[in-house]
Amino acid sequence: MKNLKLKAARASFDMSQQDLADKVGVSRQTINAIEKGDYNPTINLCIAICKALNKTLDELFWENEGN
Amino acid sequence: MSKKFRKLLVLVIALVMAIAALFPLSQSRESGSYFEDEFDVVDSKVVPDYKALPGGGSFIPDKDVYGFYRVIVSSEPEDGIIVGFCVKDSAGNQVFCLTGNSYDAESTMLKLKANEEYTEEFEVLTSKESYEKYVKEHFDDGEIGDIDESFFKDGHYKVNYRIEVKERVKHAREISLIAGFIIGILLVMIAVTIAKNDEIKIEYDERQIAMQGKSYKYAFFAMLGYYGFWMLLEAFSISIPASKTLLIFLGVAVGIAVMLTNSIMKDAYFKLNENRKCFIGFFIFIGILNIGIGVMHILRGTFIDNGVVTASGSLNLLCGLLIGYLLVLLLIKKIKDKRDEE
Repeated sequence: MKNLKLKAARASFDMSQQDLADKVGVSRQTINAIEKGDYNPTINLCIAICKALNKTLDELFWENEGN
Repeated sequence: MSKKFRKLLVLVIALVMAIAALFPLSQSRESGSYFEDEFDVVDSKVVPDYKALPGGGSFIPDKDVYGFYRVIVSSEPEDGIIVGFCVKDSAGNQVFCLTGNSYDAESTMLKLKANEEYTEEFEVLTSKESYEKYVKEHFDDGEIGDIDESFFKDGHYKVNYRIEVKERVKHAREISLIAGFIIGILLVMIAVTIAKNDEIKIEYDERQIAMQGKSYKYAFFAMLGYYGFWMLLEAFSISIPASKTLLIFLGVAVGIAVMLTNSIMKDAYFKLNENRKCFIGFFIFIGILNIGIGVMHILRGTFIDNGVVTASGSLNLLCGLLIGYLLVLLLIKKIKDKRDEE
């Protein structure tokens, strides 16, 4: 399942996948895989991404009703 | 002097020392004798009349080792003379023999006794009858090859031959293998040291580690499949014309190829911030080196022995092809990534 919330949050900060990847210490392909829903990150990486985008875990990784 | 440079220096010195120490050990020493003469064949007889040409000589191996003969005989004109050549021990027992018109022949491995005198005999076979007689006398199977009458011509001939006794160092093959591994490990360590940057964190991220786990799993099953298939072939007595060592290594190569495919395509092969250019340059160097050695074996004729692909003659080529495959995968991945970014 695609993570559009993460993509939107990243875009709101005008960050590329590479920028976010550098900030949280992973590869660009890892961020890409998370956004595409190909990879489920560990809680540690989720927290690092949330901190980098100034969001909570719920805002980025919790499923909305109907999703 | 920086820590990185010191480490690099130590590794390079270790590499040079390893090559210097192990290379001579893995080589065979050889000695031999050389002879050339001119004579006439008149009415199917050698003039002046002699059987074994003077200078045939003898030699004494100084170690009880397996000798490897190589005899090179050439004649001018090339297609006009048939010769017989044999080597006998001091008791007169023949240990090696061959016939032909012009050849560069290598015998099978021969057990030579240390300090035993071996004598070389060289005979000019000037007629079909003398050739058949020689073959019957000197060869167990006595099989007479198809020799054209045109070889037995009168005329002036110039012949030369060289017999070489290669003294094989005990466990030379094993030493070569160990030397290869040590040199390989040192080269990888040098490449890693060059590529390393102390100021940048170089490591795999969690997705890459997970993907590598999958890659190793696929590689494991691919190897199981390969060895299972091989076992089936063995069970049905279907033999593959390749040495066992090569077939074992091929299984490992299959596993590595599968691991490489998944790791590279899932972007889990290189660590984050790793100096890829340095590694790719290193791979190209090692790949070309191995393919070059492999091609050399093919040209020398050591790739195949008695219709069987040898391990010593093919392992380098296999390694070279594996590295070539890795480079192709990296290229495909780069093109794919570029397309994705666009």
